[in-house]
Amino acid sequence: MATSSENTNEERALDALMAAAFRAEDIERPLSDEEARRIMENPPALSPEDEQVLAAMGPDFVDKLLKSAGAGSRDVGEAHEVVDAEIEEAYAAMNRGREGGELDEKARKEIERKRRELLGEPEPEVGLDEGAQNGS
Amino acid sequence: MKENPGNNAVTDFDADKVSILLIGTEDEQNEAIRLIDKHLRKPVAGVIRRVAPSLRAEDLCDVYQDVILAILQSAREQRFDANQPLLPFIFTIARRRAIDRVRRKSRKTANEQVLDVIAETLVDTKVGEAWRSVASKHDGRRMLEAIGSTISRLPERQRLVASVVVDLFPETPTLQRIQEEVHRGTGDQLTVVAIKSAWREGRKKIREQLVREGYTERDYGDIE
Repeated sequence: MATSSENTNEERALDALMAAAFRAEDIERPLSDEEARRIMENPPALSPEDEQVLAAMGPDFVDKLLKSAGAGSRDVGEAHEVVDAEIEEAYAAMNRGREGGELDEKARKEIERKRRELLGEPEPEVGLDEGAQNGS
Repeated sequence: MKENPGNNAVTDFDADKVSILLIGTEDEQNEAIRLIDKHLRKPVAGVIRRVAPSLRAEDLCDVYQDVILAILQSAREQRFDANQPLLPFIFTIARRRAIDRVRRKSRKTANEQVLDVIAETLVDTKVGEAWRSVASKHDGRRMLEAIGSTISRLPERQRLVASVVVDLFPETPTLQRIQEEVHRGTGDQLTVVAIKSAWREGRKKIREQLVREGYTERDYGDIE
């Protein structure tokens, strides 16, 4: 029969395993393609309350957000300050080990071509392409 | 009638298309953000929940909104890099926003130190022995993922209590200490009895998950 001390040790070990589940991984590092793919295939679990609150956000959540962002609301303004550093950090981490983070000309043209193809825009006439900026 | 984004299959998400829209005109960027919300609301929220089990459901939505704003802002300011894979970028932002949110309230010991204590704590215990056995036969990471998912799915009160225990580890908190931490983090004043009940129920579910993952009852004894 297990003693009280043994039971306490086992409980403590279970706590350790739970702590490991959340703290064994370096969650500050950027996610890889493979990890992102796994998340898409099997999204991390949500509680019933989470599901309810997310559903209550409704399908027009982004439209409301864009409207408030367009109006320069206080909430968005405050978020921007935090977000600035956030994006810089994420890119810096993701770019680690890569040479440069900027699009080279070939890649830029390819993306522009895909963008046009996707959006059904006509190919620009030769000579006009250089001045085009994102189709605007 | 618009379809609720939460009900869309994430597999329909076209990351290439969205990346291209994000470097387009303002209207195209808006459309990209709509598509991200439509297809990725649940996965992004899941990433946030996985990192921050202590967040209340409504706070999780706030963090989600911050993530969406971060993506929008990166597009508006032409700092979005379409050469980078989109999904890791979005999920990395989600993780970091979640970490920022909980860090304001957390009293965590540095992870490096915690890992040492976890290893020491598992030595000479049945739980530790069973863990090593499962980890050697199967995938230990998968096991930890399963435990993490179980905690993420717990009802709010049980999850808050579990997350306090996880956050405070290696400290072994008393029920009063857990009560204080829940109050500090959420403003809720739960009774000690409610804490005890939530923790007992939460542990039970975690234990059941361990059994499903390959532990046997005798491996960890009668944990209450």
